[in-house]
Amino acid sequence: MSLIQGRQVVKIEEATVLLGGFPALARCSFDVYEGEIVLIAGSNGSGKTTLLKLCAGMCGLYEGKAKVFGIDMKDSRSQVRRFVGYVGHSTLLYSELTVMENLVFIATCLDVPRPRMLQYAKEFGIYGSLLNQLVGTLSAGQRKRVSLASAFSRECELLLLDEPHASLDQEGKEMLEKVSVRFKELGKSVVVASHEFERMLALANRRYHMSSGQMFCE
Amino acid sequence: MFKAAKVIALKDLRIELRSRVVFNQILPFVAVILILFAFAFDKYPTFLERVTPGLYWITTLFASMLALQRSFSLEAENGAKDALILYGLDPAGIYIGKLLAVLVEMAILEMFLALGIVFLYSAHLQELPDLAFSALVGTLGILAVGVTFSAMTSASKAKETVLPLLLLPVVAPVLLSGTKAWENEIAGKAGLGDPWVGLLILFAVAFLALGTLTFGSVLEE
Repeated sequence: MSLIQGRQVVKIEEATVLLGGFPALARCSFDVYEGEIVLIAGSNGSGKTTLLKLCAGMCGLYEGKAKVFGIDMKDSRSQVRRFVGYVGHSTLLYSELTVMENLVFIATCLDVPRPRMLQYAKEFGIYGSLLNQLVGTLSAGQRKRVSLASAFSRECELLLLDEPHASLDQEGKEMLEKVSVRFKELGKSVVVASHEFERMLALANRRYHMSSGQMFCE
Repeated sequence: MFKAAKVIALKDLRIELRSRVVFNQILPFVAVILILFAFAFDKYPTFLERVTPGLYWITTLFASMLALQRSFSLEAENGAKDALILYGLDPAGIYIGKLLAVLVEMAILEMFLALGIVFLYSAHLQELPDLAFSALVGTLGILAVGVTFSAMTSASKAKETVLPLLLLPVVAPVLLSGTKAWENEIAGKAGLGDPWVGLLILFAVAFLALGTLTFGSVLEE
């Protein structure tokens, strides 16, 4: 069975997600096709993170329909995780391990070849003595780079990036955009929730705007 | 499952080797408890000797709670618990891995604890293999419950107080059986055929099975 059924990677219709009883997503509709970069803008608390978490199978659907790679997110959301890369606000790294130990741990968990993981790390400027440094001693930008490198190294069909520019310097942002475009050219889909609207506008195929848990296509 | 268990256990033990929280913080805590009990019952040395098994198990229980909280605070930091879910690791493997890492730490702590009760309470630990076996199975039982409860409470703001409230009543049978088993073993009355040791084994097996089956749902919450 093909992983992607048709060309549609994500199909969300009238989805409602409750967080502590509050509708973080309210009848939200959204779709993503293969080989595109989709930009989601919106103010704080508009539901961007919840939408990405829904796509990553990290939160449950209360109402509506959501399918990622044809997998129903209401019943089988755990199955989608292996096909999706996600970078959120947290770095998902262990402060008391070195960068190399973190990368090896992630590579082992995800069955990613270590040379590939290290290649992506190098692409994000993480190499040499930095690899032997404890993650806890890195700057926020460096931690973000490690986190991005580990997510990209999975070479998933769908990559979900939540505020990926946060903490990154100019060079880091350029690296991120370069790799994102390469992914798009390889036919992979990248969804970016970002406040750096102007910056991403040139790269994005489509852009959405979120407000109060609802989606508006631009 | 075994791959996930190995990866998680090795990762946790590597972090412990580097941070030495168990040895620099929990071991001194254990020593302080032993010394406080020794001061409290200083005037009644024979009483202290008699209640040594109970003190051993109470101290083990307190140390286990600290080790479990430490184990899951690692995952709370930087959203690493989310990562374990995202990586699609077998939840049963994560459960076993976490349990094995804390079990290794507790086994080493309990060796120091046993030495402590010999020196401070003049305990006569003659049947060492039997005592070690019941200590291992009893600790396994405590951790089998504790890993699940720690995962459940790790996201709670009041985790430091909620974990003991949940854990202590459930592991009370381990405290009772462990104490009785140690009393009998120290007195040379019974070995591995002791029904109290049987109860410890039953408890550990039952909660290991339950934890392995339910850990996925606990992680998802």
